[in-house]
Amino acid sequence: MNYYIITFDRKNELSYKSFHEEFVAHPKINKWFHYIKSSYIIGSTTITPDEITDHFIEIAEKYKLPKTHLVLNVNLLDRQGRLTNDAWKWLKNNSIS
Amino acid sequence: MANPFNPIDWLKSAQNWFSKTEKSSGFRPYLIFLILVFGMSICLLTFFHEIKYVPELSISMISLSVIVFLILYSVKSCTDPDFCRSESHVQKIMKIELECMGTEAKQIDGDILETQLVNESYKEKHKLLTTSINHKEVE
Repeated sequence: MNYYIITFDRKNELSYKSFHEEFVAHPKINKWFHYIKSSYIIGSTTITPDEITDHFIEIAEKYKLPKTHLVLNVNLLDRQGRLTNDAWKWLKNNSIS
Repeated sequence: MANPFNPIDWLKSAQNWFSKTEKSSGFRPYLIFLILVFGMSICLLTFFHEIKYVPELSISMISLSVIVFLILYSVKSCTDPDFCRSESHVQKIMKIELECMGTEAKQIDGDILETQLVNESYKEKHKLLTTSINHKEVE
């Protein structure tokens, strides 16, 4: 499983509800982690960074949201931060598999 | 630095002020315009009422401004409801619309999670050592 972090320029005054629902519904996204409002970690065996970018832009355009974003491959084992218990659990479980 | 004797600077300041206030408190510029028209009309009626057509002009100015204000305000309140709301109210409404967060396995309301992250978040207990061959957790 490959994990990618997608970080974007979120605007607090805009609603991301519909964007979120469509973004995580991509058939190639098997796992997702959205504990920080302006980022997603997505896990997939088949998706490429190009596909993530295209998917992001398509939905952002649809809901008139800023399209600025960055997709990076991440190693879930190399981590530190400040999160809730559930978030750490997900990272731990998914870094083992 | 704006020059108080330069009319263009006055115009720029007014434009900046309007551009900042218009979005969330759009009725304010109209209200100020109305106050100015009312003030001018009252002055005209008080000091120049003997002059021909001045009373008619003053009353027409007031009634026309009020009618235009009402029409504009009604149209704007239907097309852009945030127009007459305060910034904090708009932000509150937006906050309610926070999406579900969490993971594919466990989703939680964004507002609840935001509070949790502020109050209950902590650094990971174990420091991770990563090597290219194997990964090992240590205290």
